[in-house]
Amino acid sequence: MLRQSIRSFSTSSRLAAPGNAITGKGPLTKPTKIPYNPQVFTKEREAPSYGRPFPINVELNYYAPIRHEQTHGNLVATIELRSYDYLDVEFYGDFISRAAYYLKIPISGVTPKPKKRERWTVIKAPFVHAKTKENYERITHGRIIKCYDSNPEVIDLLVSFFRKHSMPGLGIKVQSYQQESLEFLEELDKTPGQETIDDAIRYEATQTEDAEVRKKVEELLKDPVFKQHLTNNKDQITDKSQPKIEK
Amino acid sequence: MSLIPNKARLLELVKLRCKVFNENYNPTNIRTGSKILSSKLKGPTVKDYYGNPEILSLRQVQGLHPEMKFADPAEVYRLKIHASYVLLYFDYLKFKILTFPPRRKRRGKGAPKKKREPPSAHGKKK
Amino acid sequence: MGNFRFPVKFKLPSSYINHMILRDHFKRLQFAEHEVTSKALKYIARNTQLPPRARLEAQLQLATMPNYTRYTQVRDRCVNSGTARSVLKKFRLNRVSFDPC
Repeated sequence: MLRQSIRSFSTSSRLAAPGNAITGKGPLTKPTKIPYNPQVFTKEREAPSYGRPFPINVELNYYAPIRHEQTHGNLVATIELRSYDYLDVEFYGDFISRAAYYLKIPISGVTPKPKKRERWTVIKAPFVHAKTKENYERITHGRIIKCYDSNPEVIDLLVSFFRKHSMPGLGIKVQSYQQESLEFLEELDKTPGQETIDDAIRYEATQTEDAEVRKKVEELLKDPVFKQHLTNNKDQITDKSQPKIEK
Repeated sequence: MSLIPNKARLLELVKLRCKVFNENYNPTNIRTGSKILSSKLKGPTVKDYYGNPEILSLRQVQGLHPEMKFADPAEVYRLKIHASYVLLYFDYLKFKILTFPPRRKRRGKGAPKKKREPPSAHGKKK
Repeated sequence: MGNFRFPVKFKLPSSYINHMILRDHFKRLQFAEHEVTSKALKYIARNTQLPPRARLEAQLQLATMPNYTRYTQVRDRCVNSGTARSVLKKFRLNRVSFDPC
């Protein structure tokens, strides 16, 4: 997406991008034998070349997305959309808010994030002529959707849904939050067959980035080349000089 | 009396804080080299600057299997962009020719008409 | 392979290759390989709580490590053309190769 996103200031005309996000819908397939009695708002409206009224969920796409009301106001997840094209984030934000309605997740609006502008100035000519420069810029558009009062499993379902229907050139970041009781640690300790918290912490300490270097330092200090210096001046060595493995 | 903070009490507080947040207690600022220990290893990122050598590039795969034909996505993209640019340029040319006939020609500054006859025999003589 | 010019054999990168890129790539690989050792030595050398002789020994060992194991020898080059000048670090590209339009 790099080349499509960065554009020169001077060239204002966009290239015709193939496959516009909004018009890109798959062909309708004719259902057979299944009884088909959709609810509709208006009876006049009929799908062209289909001879049947629009189903209500299709017709709802012509209106602003409907929301569920918050019940407790507990923030469960924030969804962040990012793209170099504002149409993409706009379209996808709409898509997510509609999907959230059908999953009964109360959401708070598709809030725009401040545009992130990155600019680069390079010399235009391939050789010398440093006075003529060219400016390039890339604008990253963002939207934020906040989900409230729903089960983490439902949030997972929403996430898997838009993973399935993901869009090229659009980044999605989801942060989910979970509330635990104050006795969470004690409960975790009590659960049989599980590692205790201490074990987990000890394991984490070995996985830190500097663990490898610490190991090497210990190895070096045991080396006879270094050991002779360490044993000669015993007074100077303190406990702190030894690298600690346990935190 | 005991509520007045003195240095020893403050140091005790710092010691406790270090214990709680798992920090190094170093009140005299002795250089222990912990800065070097705590810095991240940058080898993995530095190593892969020109691409991971373990991962074959498309060109290398093509070289190994010349009988297969792989599409090079970069080349396909380039051709597509190139084609659209060419089309845009043709459109622009067409628009230009239709709207503005050559300006210099209108002002009588165009190329002279081609001579039909062969050059006359009474040309310059040396 | 009598005419192999690098002290250690290594795999080629998957990007554009030219003699300067090869040299830089080699240094990068060597730096990554020796990073833990050089960091450990540096830690011993800088730790004022260790005996001075041990610190000096570490410093000497650091100095005897070959030049190509240092990060200062590494230079960001253009992935597309190999030039070291006017490289936009974010894209790893030279200004001439950086031509999005």
